[in-house]
Amino acid sequence: MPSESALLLDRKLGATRRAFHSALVSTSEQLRSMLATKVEGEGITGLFSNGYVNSSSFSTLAAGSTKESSEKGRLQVARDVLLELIGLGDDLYRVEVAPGAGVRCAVSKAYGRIGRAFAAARAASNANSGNPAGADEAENLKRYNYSNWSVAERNIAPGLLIEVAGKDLLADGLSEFLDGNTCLAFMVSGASSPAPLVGLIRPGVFVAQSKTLDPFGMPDRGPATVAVLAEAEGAATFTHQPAGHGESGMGIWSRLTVSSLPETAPESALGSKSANQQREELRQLAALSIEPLLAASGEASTVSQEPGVTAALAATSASGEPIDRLAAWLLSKAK
Amino acid sequence: MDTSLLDISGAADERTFTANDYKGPTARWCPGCGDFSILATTRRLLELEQLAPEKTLFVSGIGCSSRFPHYLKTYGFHGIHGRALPLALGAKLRRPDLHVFVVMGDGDCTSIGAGHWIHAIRYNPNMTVLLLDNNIYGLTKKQTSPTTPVNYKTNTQPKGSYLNPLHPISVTLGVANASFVAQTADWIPAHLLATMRAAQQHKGLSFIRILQRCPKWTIDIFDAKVKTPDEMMILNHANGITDPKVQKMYKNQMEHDPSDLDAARALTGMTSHIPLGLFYKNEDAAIYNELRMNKSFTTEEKMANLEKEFDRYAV
Amino acid sequence: MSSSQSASSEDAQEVYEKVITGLGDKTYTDHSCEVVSDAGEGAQKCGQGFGALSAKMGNGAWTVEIIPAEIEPPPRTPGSTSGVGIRIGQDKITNAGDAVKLVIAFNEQVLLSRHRVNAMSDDCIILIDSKWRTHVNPKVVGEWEDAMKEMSTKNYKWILVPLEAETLKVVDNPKLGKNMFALGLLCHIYDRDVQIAKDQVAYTFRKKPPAVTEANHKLLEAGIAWAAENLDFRFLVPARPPTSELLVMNGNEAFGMGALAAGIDVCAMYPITPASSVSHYLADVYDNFGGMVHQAEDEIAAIGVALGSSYTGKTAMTITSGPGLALKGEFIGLALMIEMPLIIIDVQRGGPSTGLPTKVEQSDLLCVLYGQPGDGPKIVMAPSSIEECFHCIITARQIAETLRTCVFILSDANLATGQTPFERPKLDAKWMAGPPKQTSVPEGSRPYEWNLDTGISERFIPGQRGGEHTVTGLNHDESSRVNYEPATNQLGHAMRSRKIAVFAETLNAPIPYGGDEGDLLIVGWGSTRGAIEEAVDRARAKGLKASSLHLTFLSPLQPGIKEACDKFTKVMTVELNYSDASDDPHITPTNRRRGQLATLLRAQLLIDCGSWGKVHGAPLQPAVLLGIIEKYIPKA
Repeated sequence: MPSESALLLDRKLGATRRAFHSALVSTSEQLRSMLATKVEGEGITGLFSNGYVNSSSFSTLAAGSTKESSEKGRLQVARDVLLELIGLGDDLYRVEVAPGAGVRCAVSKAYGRIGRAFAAARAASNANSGNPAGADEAENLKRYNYSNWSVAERNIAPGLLIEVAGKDLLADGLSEFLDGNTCLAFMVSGASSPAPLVGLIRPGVFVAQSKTLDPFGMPDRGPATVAVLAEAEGAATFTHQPAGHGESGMGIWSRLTVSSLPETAPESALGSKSANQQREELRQLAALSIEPLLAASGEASTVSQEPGVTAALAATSASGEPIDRLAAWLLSKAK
Repeated sequence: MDTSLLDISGAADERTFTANDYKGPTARWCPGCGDFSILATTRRLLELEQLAPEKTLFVSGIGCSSRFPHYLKTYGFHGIHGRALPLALGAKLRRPDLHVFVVMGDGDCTSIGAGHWIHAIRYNPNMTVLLLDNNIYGLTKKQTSPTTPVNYKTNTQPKGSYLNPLHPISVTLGVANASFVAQTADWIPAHLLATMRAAQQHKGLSFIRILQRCPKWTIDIFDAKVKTPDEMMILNHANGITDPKVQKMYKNQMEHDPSDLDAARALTGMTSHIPLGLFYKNEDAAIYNELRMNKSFTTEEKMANLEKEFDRYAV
Repeated sequence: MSSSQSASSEDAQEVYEKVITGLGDKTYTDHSCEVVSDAGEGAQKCGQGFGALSAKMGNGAWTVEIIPAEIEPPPRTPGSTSGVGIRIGQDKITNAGDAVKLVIAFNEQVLLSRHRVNAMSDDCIILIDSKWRTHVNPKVVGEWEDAMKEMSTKNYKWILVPLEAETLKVVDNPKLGKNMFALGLLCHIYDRDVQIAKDQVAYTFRKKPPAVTEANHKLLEAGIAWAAENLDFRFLVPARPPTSELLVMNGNEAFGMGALAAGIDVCAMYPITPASSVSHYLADVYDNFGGMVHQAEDEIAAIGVALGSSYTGKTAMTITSGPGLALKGEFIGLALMIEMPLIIIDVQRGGPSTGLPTKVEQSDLLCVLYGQPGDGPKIVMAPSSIEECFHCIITARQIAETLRTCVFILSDANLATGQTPFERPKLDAKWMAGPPKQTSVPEGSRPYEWNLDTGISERFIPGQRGGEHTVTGLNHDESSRVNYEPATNQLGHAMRSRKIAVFAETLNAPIPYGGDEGDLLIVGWGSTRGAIEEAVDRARAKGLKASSLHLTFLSPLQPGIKEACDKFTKVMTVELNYSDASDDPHITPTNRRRGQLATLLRAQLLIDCGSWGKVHGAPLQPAVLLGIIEKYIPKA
């Protein structure tokens, strides 16, 4: 049973989901039309025509629009796949990561299931054009992985709502799914490492960590991932806005806003992440958010006007400066 | 909402379009007509934005400018006088996958279709609306239009038109829920293109009044403007429409914040110059076609729901 | 006036003890009554509830709304009359019937308005609230006396009922309770099943707190008890338990459900009486079907939005009535020119101009057929019952899409607000045809590739690759290119006309009702069918050789009409539109303006038919038509 905030987040994903659902329905209805035969054409005028319209002679007029397909079986199988997915409703877009299970695996499985719709459309297109079924057609209808999706398919991909325990939120390998309009929204329970999503920051990807649901400022288009860390005391909150379409943009620092940092640096292991690995997330966040000094100023005087910067630089080096100094500086920069 | 997975399956979507892919039959406007420039710029826009021709729809009313869709190789709906906007709204309502453009003349939009104009601005559907304003009825041969300058002699008002013209930008800005209002001119293609791009990318109804030369009936009105670039006032702003070429070419420029509705309205009263650029933009305006989106249902689901309706009415 | 009425106010109590009509219990095959009140007093809830519970018991039923022209007219005026006429029968009821035999009136002024339109039979029994007769305000008493005087021309049987007084025993606000007490009276008089009646009351107030239902149940029981105590008559109309499941709704709701069954995606409209309620129904439920009602800024925009939607492959309809139809003319021409499927429902009302907005008339036929400039071949159909209102949209959609044309559905205020049970439709997925195909258009295909034999072509929908074209209201060739050539214009016209002729070939000949030959054939169309056929039944029972022929398609006309007419000595159309009477002053056979169907039949089929038409704003009554039949057929 999804939590109330999960439902709220769910609604945020509503637009992409509605579009995808609509495409599923629209496609299944198209297949239904293709499956209609001439014989079925009789009676299409309904009961009103009884006595008034000669249904069978009328259906000859309509016949042109109901071509009989020789591949009805494949079309029917494709439609059944679509109906099965439609029948799942919003569950199609929800992922619950079992305690201790891998996030990547769960996401891959969910998109593999959503991908069945694309596989079904391909099978139907091929069947309709009289192309024989490929060797993998039947397999693809059971699972069709994200890696096989076309650009257009990735553009219509619905967002996923992923419920996961903070200790299990390992983002490694998720970049694979951040393309087109894909959105991965994590509803995180319990404690979390400080910046589990930091590793997913890319120039073209919206990445945000938040304690609450609003406001993400998530753009309408483009890949995105967000984590709602309502119960995680030790989590940072930040937003990375993607660079505009086709822009190389300035450095990531210019689009990354860090709103809050944990009071103290992690000192014990969480799940499979050691304290050090967790501190590395903070360092990575710092590294990405600091304006490169040389490029920005070129003059030593600027540096001296920013008293915290020296410390920050020191903190990001591997020398093991206390993490709380970094935090203090980042916080002073936070809005 | 109508995207079919059949359309996008496989490699079918990996296409690149050139301006030629949008080219229809040769246009038959008078030589020197501003519509040619707008048509060419439109093709350029379609290419830049890589809009699939089969997903692009141009809707028009009646008049010289309304022949526009015929000269493009996209889908087109050449409707009736003044009624392009309801047709376009109808098209967009259940087909958000279509890129909808509306092309109207000044008689079409501001006279016979004025009611639809007001309401389309309020509905704010996601589409681009071009008002090709040549200040005259062209196709029916030089009758006064609502934008004809006062005292201008026409066939219906041979002693000169009686009233001051209405200002299409001012009217549009007066309608609740206006979301993108710009003015440009057909003889400044760079500005025209920049405006159309900004409009196409805007979510909601973008209304562009394009000052359009008519070489046949109102050449005297526009000739001076074309020849006197100093009459133009280019509106600049970080959130506005900027084009480096235009900024270089035109002497008169001013900062105007397009989020400032009062300032935008005040600009419509400017008599010293003709302001070109983005008057107003509001990205938060409600978008009717998006508000009206609802869930799709399969035939099986609809039948089950209709049975429930029957149950309500069963005795 | 009866003795009970003549009792003076001092001994008013006396009349409640027992009303002596001497009628006793009598069995009828059908019986009709009315409940009328000031607007807002709930007579409609009472009447509709009575109709519905009678249908549940297995009676045939037809209810017709009596609607004031204003929303909140001043109370106790003839203009404030709101109510329902109910006709129930042993068998199926197909029309509102004749003048009613029983009325429950909440005051004498609303009753007066019914008297003035001859809604009550001469021997009608009238149950009326007694409070006004003895009201403290002498003005009210004066109004009562004036009204009684005016109504004294008829032999109505008066029964004074302490309607408000009894209601106040149960609830505080009589305005909200008299209707259920009145329902109780009807339940006793017509011997209704009390449990079914209670269920119906519970259903009526299902959205209110349970206490409301409880109070209304008490009122119902009080009404039954009062009637049992005080009335000495009952009208027994035996019911037959229904053999199949039935639905009860009015014609506009049936249109709405028909649109759902036909898979209509968009209903674009502008508010107009009496069509609007189609959209009220749809707006309420459309989200469960993925459809939408768009209320446009005007009638023109409404059809424009529907047409734009249809162009993009959605199924669309627009609903309107006379004044709106006039405004839609130019778009109708465009839709026909570009051969775009579109369903246009015209719920006709009295015209011309604003006319009689809430009342029935059949005056839009010729406007629909010929109402836009240029040649406009199209399909026009007219459902003749509420059940047909449901089913005809399914047919209309298929015709519109198959032929790429506009289909007009002509209903009227009678069907729109009448309610009657009909068999629950067995849904068929085929009715909701899928979306038009979106696959690529084969190279070389053209958007108007007319089959020269049938005039039919396949349209391309935005989204279909290779199908890019611009539809235009200008004359165009097969590629939809603007074209001014004489031959192309001729061809376009011929193709648009031909498909209508081809469709006509799929139509069956209408079958005369009553018998294939005789002295008089009445030809009708639309909502008058039930009344006409009932009149024919009564005439034949009297030995008169009258039959009727009902036309469902007005364009194209069904085959065999002339042949059917030829077998009768006289042919006459009966329509609810204006016709000069042949004996009107100045009228000659050559200058006579006849009913619209008569004009059509004469022009198109050379049928020398007579024409009877009335514009009383009221449904056709079988008894009135029987009188006409008797006038035209000489007694043997």
